[in-house]
Amino acid sequence: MPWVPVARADEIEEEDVIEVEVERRVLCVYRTKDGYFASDGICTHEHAHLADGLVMGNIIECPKHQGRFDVRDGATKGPPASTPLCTYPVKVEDGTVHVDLGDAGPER
Amino acid sequence: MIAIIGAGAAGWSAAEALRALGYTGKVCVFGAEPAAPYERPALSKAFLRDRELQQPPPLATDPSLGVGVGLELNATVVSIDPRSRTIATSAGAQLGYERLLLATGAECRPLRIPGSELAGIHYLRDIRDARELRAELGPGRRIVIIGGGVIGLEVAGSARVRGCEVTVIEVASQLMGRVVPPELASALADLHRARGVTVRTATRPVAFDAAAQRVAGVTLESGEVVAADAVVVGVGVVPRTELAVNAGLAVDDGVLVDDRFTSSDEHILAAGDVARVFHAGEQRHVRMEQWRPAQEQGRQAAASMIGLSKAYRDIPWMWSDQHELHIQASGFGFEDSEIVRRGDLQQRAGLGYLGVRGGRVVAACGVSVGTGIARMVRAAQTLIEHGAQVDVDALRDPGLDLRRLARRVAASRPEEAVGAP
Repeated sequence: MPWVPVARADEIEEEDVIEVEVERRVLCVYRTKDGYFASDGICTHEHAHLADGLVMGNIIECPKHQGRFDVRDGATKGPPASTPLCTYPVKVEDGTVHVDLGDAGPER
Repeated sequence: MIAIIGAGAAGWSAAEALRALGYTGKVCVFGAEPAAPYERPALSKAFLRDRELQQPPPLATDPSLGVGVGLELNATVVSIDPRSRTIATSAGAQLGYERLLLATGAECRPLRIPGSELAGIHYLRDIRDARELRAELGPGRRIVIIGGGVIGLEVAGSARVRGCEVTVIEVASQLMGRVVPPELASALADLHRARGVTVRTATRPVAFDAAAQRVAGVTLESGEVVAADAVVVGVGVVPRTELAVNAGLAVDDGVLVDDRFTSSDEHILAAGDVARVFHAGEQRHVRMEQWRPAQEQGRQAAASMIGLSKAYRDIPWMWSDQHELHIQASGFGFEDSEIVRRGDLQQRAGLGYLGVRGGRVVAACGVSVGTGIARMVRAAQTLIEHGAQVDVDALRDPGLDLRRLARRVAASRPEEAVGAP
């Protein structure tokens, strides 16, 4: 899949996250001091929208049970998270954030 | 060997943390239940609602961390000898330890009234309890729940999902009395009623009625009898301190430990529901009964055992799922605080309350459909952690972005005053 525009770069505050829907997939787009990142928008532990969670540095904390993931690579960073989060390449062009879903499978 | 007694949230997270922190010595976890460590919070929610669910989810954050951790299930430690630093198991083994972590948790407080030995009266603490209770639930079954706390109300929601007729009986004048302010408790009571639960507060059960050796009703102090096909008792828990008492450790509503989780014996630590830990922020001993603090205490106790500790100052946080409602709370309670209400249940962000005392946020809680309330409660948790000075009027402003405020507080010095935005 080619690059898909998902948000204006300035609509996300630093250390924050928004939820977007692309091809019926729920995604999170993050902005940290290290740049923009994207991942699946639903927690791998139980069904919860991660965009309700708190971004701290490069960590997203799930709003439901406070499991933690690194937004850069999806690695688990705190219980009860045990399965890594799927992340996607991001680029910012002309003030727009683009996400490449690659050959990501169907919506989970 | 590091011996960990208890394979629940605190015990198992301690074992994983020892490996994650690079400890390569022998670690052995003793679990009294036959099941491998699992997510206990699921027992009152998904496990009761879904008859097909064989097991609650496993309690393992990273399977590689469990490698090389000895896990003895069905294993009861019967005594600790602090002088020789040995433990004795029910299987007759004597094992030496260098450090010992007591993570024995808590057990349900029994309700002792006439008829309490009858069949059909349930408590909920482990998988076996949950299986037995789950078998009682079904369309039209009359389930009477004694105790309008977190467990009772979660069971009420789950039992409604299974089609039961549910009555909740609470002695106190409000539900969830230790967790939420009266206004939210009253809103929650209405929400439960709107979902078909009969909620009765300020009512004391005095006896169980029997029919054919089985519970058939609950008699209230007014003399009224509430008919029941089964009863669930959720009136709190008591810490499992027997091992600690017999070992001569200092115990007072929990094993007393310092802010590094060390007990009155320097080789024995305690964490989770069983521990009453000295909280560096509160400057007093506190005992917590929530899942996340138990995990975090286990992790920090593990660090303490290998000399990497810092003083414990975490702010308690918990969630509860009742019907389709998601509830969260943080802090040490609303006592003597000025209460600020924010939002409402019609909004995604939910209905929340902040408790402010001495110009600082000390407690937060709220309810939402979905996890929207997390935005407020988590931000408040950060404000509580940092002891930030806040302006109560600013908190009342619906336009105030609490998360932005929390981010700014977290980035500044803990004691620095933070005014209105």
